[in-house]
Amino acid sequence: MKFSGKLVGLLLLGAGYAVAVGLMVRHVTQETRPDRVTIRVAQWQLEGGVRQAFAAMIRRYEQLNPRVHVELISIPDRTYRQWAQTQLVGGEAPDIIEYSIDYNNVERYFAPISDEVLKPNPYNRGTPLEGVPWRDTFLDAMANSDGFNVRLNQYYAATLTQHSMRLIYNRPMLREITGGDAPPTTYREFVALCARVEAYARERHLTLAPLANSKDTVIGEAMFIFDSASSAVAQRLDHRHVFGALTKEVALDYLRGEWSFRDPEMRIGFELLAELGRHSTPGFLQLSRDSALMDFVRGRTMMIVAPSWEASSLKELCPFELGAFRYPVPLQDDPAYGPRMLGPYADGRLATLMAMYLNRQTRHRAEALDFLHFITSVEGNQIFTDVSTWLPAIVGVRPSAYSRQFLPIYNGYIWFIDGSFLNLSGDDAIAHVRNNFFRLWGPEGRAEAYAEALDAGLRPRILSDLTRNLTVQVQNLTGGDSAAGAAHMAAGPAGATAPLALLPARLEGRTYQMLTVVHAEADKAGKAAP
Amino acid sequence: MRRAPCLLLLLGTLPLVARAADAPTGWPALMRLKADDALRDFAAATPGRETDFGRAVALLARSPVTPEQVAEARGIFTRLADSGTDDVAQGARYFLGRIAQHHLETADPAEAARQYRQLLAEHGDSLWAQTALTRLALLELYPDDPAVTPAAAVAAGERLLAQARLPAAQSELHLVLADAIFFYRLPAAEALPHLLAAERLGRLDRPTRADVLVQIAEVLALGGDAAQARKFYTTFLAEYPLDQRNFMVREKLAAGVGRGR
Repeated sequence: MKFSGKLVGLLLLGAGYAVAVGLMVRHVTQETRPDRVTIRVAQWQLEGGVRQAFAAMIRRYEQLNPRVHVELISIPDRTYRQWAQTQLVGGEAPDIIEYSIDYNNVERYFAPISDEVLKPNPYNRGTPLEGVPWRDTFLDAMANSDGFNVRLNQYYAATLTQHSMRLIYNRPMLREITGGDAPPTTYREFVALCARVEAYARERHLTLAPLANSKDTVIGEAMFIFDSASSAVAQRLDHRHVFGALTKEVALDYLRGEWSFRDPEMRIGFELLAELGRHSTPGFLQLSRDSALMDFVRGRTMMIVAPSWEASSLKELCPFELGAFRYPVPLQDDPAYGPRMLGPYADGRLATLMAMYLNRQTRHRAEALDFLHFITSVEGNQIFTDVSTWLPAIVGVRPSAYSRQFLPIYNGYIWFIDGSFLNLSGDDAIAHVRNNFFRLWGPEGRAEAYAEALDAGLRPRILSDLTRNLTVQVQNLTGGDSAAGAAHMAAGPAGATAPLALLPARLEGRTYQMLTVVHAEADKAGKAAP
Repeated sequence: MRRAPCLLLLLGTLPLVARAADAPTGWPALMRLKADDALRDFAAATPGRETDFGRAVALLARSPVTPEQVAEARGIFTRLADSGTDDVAQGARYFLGRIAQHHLETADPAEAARQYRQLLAEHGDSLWAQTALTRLALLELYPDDPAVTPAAAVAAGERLLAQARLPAAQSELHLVLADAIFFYRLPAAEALPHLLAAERLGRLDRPTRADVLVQIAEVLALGGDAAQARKFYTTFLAEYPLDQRNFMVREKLAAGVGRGR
């Protein structure tokens, strides 16, 4: 029996249609099963293990709660924001949504969970966290930008994980080259290891570099190294005496002439970055993250600069055993840099991530909240951590042996609250810092040339960033005015007992501070200020 | 017959429905910044001062906010503020200040201050006036006049403390003053009374209280009062065991607190 191409096409089309109808019917029957409620959860983490971790959490949750069915929707990060906002605007969004404060409109789309965070998480019964307020079961007590929204003075999101930057290494290769498998613990040991790898490659005529790196991945590592080495400068910029400074404040300090990239204390940071570049894959500034991963997976480098969220994917991709260590920033005992160092350094701000928000329009608030409780309980977060090999967000949850290598070190100095000297006021300043990387890491790169180039062009870029930011801040203020006025009126004269729930005046004051400095700069430049 | 209970139930709810129709219903939508929905709801509500007020507040939130919208809102607020003394009149006066402060294409700080002062003079104890107080303080602390020295600006802001009646307004005003003192790089010790007062008032949210405890301890340490500084560092450690700054605070305590950094 012969089949014509046309017939085959029609059969395929018919089969596709039948499958689609089947899926739709299954979906509809699930939705309409009267004995259970379906809630939907959306997230954008497609790295190895995360979707499986959600599947495992959902399986366990549905065992415990047979009348609730949970559907996971995973959307690639490139399109996620647009997708989520379209769903939210259209009133079709899932009940729980991974979201970021940077996407804005939090108060419009999501329900605060402030009333819940002081109550214990019911799924922690029988664990050491029994009776502990939900808020205090998170490693950061929800004191991250999504957990507690400072502008709205409300708790919003429950988080699942934390992250760090690490150098991941090929353990068998380390053994072969050095005879041991212990990673370096000091800066000098790290430099010596890199030299040894280079010598090994030279002797055997191998295409082998110490570090796989790329224009994408170098950024996080560079910020950690540079900010650690420049702690002395950041410390003196803590004018509010809170053991920290915001990037926009540090940018204002720059405009006020309180620091520059040519300050002597900055020099070590640039030298360390230059050294990192020398040991990285040649031409890494032209390479993407995927190229760096490929260099490492194929054994063309011994180490790779990687954030911990790549660790689960690397584990799936690499046919060899992996290890990880933190870039060892020089400490006070370093023979050359010691006198200027101010360590030990923290890996970053203690902030749990992967913020899951509760859709304001959910028809299943109780069930969605219950699922949030489960995935952030000791049991739920342990499942997440075990299956994904990502790090936990909940007190007492044990990371796997593999992910333990990525555990951030928080016992150390850190001065930036939300950024870095290399990640200042906004897009223009950040682009300026990155577009000049070639002056540091290009063929003719030098630390001094990079520092000079940064200072030469930074001021106008900070000004343009802050000017744009002022517009956004004022828009937020005015929007907040209407919402706060509405809340006051909705409560009625008897219900309202406190001043309007506006943005705290001290935070509005920061807008004025920015305006004051920007005006002064504009006056200096003879331009009209915004 | 089976319909009778339903009918009775429906009739029973009629007074509630009627009351709901009387009250402007745009506020819930506006709380979520859904200004178009709010405008529609206010348009359908029974006309009255609160409905007019709601429409004007919603106009300030409807994107894109045009100068014509702001002008229309300003006209409504002016009429409402000048024709009564009720909550709506006070709210309208407050919003007239906010329009001049932030909503106009070119801000008019003098006009904003004038509106806030009038509100404080006429209804000093009201929630609207107490809300306006800290916004007036910002105009005093960050004047649009380079001739005003930082010390004079802070002094003008401090004079407003006498008008702060509600603890929440007092607390926020003290924090605003301390922040301005740090911004102008005035001696940190000048911020100390404000930080202490804000802490004593007990109105700080949890993250802000953590900051204030650290600030008080740091400023005390800078001033050489190691014993008092230690007390606040220790309070911070006890109340915020998960705060990352614990490391720095413990380092400070281990080093004997001391003067400076």
